[in-house]
Amino acid sequence: MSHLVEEYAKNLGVKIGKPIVNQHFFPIEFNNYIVISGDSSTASKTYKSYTIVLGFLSSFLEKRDIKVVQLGGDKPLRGVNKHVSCSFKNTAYLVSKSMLYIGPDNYLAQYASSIGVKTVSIFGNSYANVTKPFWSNRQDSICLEPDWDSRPCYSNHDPKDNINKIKPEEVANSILKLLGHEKKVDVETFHIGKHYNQPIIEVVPTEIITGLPKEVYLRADYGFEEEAFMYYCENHKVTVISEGLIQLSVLKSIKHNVKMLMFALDAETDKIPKKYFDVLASWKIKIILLSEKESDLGVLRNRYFDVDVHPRYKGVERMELPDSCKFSTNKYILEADKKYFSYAHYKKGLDNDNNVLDTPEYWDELDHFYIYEQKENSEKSS
Amino acid sequence: MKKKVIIHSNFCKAFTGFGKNKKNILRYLYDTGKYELFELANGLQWEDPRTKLVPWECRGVTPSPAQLAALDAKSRRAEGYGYTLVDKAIKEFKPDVYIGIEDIWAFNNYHHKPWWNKVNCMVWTTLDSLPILPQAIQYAPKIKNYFVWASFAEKAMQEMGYDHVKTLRGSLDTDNFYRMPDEERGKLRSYHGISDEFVIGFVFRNQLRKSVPNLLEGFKQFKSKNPDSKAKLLLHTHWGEGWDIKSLMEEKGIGNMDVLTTYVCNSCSKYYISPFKGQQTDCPSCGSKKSVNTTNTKKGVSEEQLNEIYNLMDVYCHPFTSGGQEIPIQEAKLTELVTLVTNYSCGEDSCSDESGGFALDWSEYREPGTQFIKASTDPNHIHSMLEHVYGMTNEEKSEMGAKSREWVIDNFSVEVIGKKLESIIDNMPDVDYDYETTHKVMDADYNPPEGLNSDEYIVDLYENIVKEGVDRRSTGFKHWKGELAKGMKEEALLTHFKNIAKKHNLDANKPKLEDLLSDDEGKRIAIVIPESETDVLLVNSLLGQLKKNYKQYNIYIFTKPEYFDFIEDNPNTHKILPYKKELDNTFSLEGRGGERGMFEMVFYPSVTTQKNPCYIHNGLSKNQFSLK
Repeated sequence: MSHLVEEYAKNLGVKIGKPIVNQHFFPIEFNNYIVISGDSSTASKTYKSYTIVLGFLSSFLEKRDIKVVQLGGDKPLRGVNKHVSCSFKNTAYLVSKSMLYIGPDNYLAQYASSIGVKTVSIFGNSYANVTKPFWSNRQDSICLEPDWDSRPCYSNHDPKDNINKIKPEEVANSILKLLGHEKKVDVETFHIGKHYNQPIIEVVPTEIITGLPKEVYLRADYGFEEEAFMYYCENHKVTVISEGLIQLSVLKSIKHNVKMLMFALDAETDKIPKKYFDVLASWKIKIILLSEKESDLGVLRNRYFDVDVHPRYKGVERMELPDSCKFSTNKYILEADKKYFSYAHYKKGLDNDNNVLDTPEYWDELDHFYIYEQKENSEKSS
Repeated sequence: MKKKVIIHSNFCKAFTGFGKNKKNILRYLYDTGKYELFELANGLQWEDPRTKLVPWECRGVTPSPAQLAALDAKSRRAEGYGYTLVDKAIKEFKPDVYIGIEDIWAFNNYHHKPWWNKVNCMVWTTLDSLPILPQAIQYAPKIKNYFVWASFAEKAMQEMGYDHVKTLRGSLDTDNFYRMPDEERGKLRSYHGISDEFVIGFVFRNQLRKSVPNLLEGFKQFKSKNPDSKAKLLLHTHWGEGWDIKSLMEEKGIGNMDVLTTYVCNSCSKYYISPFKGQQTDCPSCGSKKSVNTTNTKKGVSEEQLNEIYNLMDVYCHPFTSGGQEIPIQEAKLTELVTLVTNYSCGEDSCSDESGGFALDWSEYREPGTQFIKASTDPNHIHSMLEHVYGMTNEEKSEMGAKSREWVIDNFSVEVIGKKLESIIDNMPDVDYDYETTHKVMDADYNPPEGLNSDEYIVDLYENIVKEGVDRRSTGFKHWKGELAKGMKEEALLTHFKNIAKKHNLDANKPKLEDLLSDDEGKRIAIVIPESETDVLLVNSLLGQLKKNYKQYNIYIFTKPEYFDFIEDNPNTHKILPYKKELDNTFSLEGRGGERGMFEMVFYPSVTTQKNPCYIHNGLSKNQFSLK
């Protein structure tokens, strides 16, 4: 193999020892814990499905009182018990006391390996042979690589996002194995949308719902009742998506709560006067125009040069999936007391239904879905 | 088939003169439907999300801040203008036409590019002073389609024999600026507390090349001679940069109430006209605290508001030392103001008879260093011209204003400039080029044939060693011709050219590190490992064995300070020092020839892993020896 450290050893003409690092104590209240790298500074090494992995493992970890400590990263991942941002030497201490390291092929994986901590390493931009944890025995280290259909990108940005092709059940099963558990997570992942982790609450303003988060998306293009619409605009920070232009006189009284306006149009729609955009800009309301037709995009972008114009429908191709597939999402549509997991479900009146629907509207929102098939005898369902 | 046209300048949505011009012409050309357009945007990175929101293909050509930070100042400047990424764009888009719109130094060394003049290349640049910048002259024979924004530059270049240099003015969206009806103007003035005062306006970025002291002096003279005019000077500029206007007013005894300025609220974007009263004041309109400042590049007024500001003025006065186009002059003319402009540089165009403006006299001074001619506008003449305009009847002013507007529309409007550009592009010939971009390598081994006369000999050296054509009018050619005439041997000239080629090919820098080292000459090993965490940690694992191997040596580690943590605890290190680019020169550090060098051994472990990753071998290679 051609491991990175061997290359360095050859360059210096020496044999490989172990790194010397003085660990700095860092207080930790848990006796049994695993560490997970939350570092997202390198896009091609950022795994986005830890939340699903931790979901699979939650009952197993709970039963054994094993905690999850996240090292680094901007925000805590859902499912971790503690999020720590500290110096490398503090981190080295935390790793040394842990049962297992999970993360990309970074310095923490190498350090864990050098002090005998087990590692589950997830690769996205290089082959495992090149940068795997060098000092680990085979039984203490699992390297997960995507099924390479081309060479790795070896750079910070991977246009194929290979790391996220590694299925969360593979990561979860590797953790279970290294923690000495024979049972496996019995879920098969079929698709994880790139915006799956992004929580979005869409509300159809036909009735008033209380207790919602501060920020919501108002789908006035799905349904509209003035009283409900005004209620949401007065009590929430809203992004409004509508079928057509909303008059300035209507917006004036709610302008402080409207963050963004999005509405659909085509090349034949009457030209919106510049004044309209100027007034919205003075109210600090961002506007996005949605082109009904792909073919109008260039014309509309040139006509409304200073405004962002996006296609309304992405025209995503359908996936072939087994009938028993389910999906989950962090993007909901709420109307009255009903909750829908996609616009396709809303359109068909299927609330609280997590079955995959084979309609163009469903596929258009694919970026927000996690699609899986639940097998029998699983550790825990998603 | 549609002609493929690359247009390279500031991003079309940038609020700069270049950005606005690019936006105007791209939109014009797009609407013709005749071209496949590609925009290259300085200041943005290749895949910046903003590049996806324009109607045509667009790429940013400035490297990331981290990449720029690793460069020396000269390269940083060149890369800021897209020196390297433009090649990538040429290769990817395979254009018929390349149009670069920037200051001339943005195109430094472009003539060395292998695609230069193989595709139709056009430079459309701003020149602001006489004598013309040497770079602009030097490039003249190398730029087939050479356009300048102001006619004085065309004239100067043609006087030097470069007849192909033409004027193509920067385009303006003329719809945004117009004279408002008198009634509306009156209301607007009244809203801003102006009634029958004679308002003299100047819209400018507060830079030293704008002649603020001269204007203040001229204004003072005018005001004291014409007290009935109740004259006010409206300076639409930022008082927090450039000239210290407040001090200049005090120095000249101009009252605070006599000079007005524009304030803008960061929060609600409303503007106010008032005497200067400091920065970061509270907004009287939206109530935001400390949100109001004089107009500036970060927060200025909209074009609509700026049009109102011109409509508050009775006359527009623009004294300056030199400039490329000075767009506010044209904007003022569009609002049908009588304009007074320094009769130098691009100002010559704006104070001619047909432009409907008056000229301001000036005296020559030279800019230290560059020796450029600069204009110092005569304050006495500012005074007398203000008096002249003050004495004009409304009909005379109105007639002159209408003429000014017409002239700007005829010469600067998007439609006119766009049409001219369209014609230039359409007349360019078909391209036969393979677009395989490689860097130019000079030939240091070339020997010219025998039997050439001195002129032919110089041309031959340029063409075959430096790999570029030479203009016989250029200073370089004339210099070498003179040297040969004075008795310089041809072999000596050949050696000189070969040395230039070697230097060009080596591009070496000499590092200076002495101050960082201990008194241990002859016993130093350096490991240069610039980044990052994993690599430095792995090198850490090798130091014990390295020290065993070289017991008598001190090991210096060079890495970026943020990675010190990953190696500093290893007792086998002698010093951990910050990495600098100049360390990437083995011979300077280890010595060569008469140079001793500072280290006995320098290791660059990352050369084969980061600089030129050639160790990966798809993870398949094996060692026949154990490294553990």
